[in-house]
Amino acid sequence: MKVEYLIKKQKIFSLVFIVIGVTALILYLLTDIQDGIMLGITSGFLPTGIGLLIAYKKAENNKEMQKKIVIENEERNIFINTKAGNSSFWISFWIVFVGTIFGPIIGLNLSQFGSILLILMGIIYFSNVAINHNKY
Amino acid sequence: MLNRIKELRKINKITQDELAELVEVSRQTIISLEKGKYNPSIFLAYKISKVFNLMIEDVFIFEEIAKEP
Repeated sequence: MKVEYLIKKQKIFSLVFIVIGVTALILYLLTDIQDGIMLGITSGFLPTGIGLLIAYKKAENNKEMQKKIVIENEERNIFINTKAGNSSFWISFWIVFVGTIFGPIIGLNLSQFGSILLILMGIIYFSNVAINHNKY
Repeated sequence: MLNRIKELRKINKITQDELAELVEVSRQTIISLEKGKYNPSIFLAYKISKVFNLMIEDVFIFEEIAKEP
């Protein structure tokens, strides 16, 4: 994969993050919609997006960074990430199934279940990435 | 899939790092290939074979063929 294409893709990705962050910031400042959540989204997305954009802009003229980007996107890493994503999807699917059946019984509301699921999905995905890195 | 990457590297006096750089992958990928834990795509297999000036089938050995008497 050409490094220019990879850098362009990541710059678009970072712009999306910035747009989400700015939108959440505007909603936080101008409305009363979910103030805490909007501030959280802004704090997460805006600095991440700006940081990524600066980093990839620098990478355009930096051969060392370009080498790292190519290696990050090498076939083995993509294979491992895809495999981890696939396993994680099915594990999360069953967690949602079990949560849907037993959640109301143990008094778990949708918001609580969603928060737990989000955290679990991250743990499951990165665990699968680590396992597959070791396996392959 | 069995392969002769380690053997060919030593013959040609190339380190894992150097080979990784030549075929644009990480050193970890070369390690995984040498241990037989990861099977490369046809593109990567071709790039590696080109480094050693050999055909793909001279570098990578399909197990069914290896088992033949």
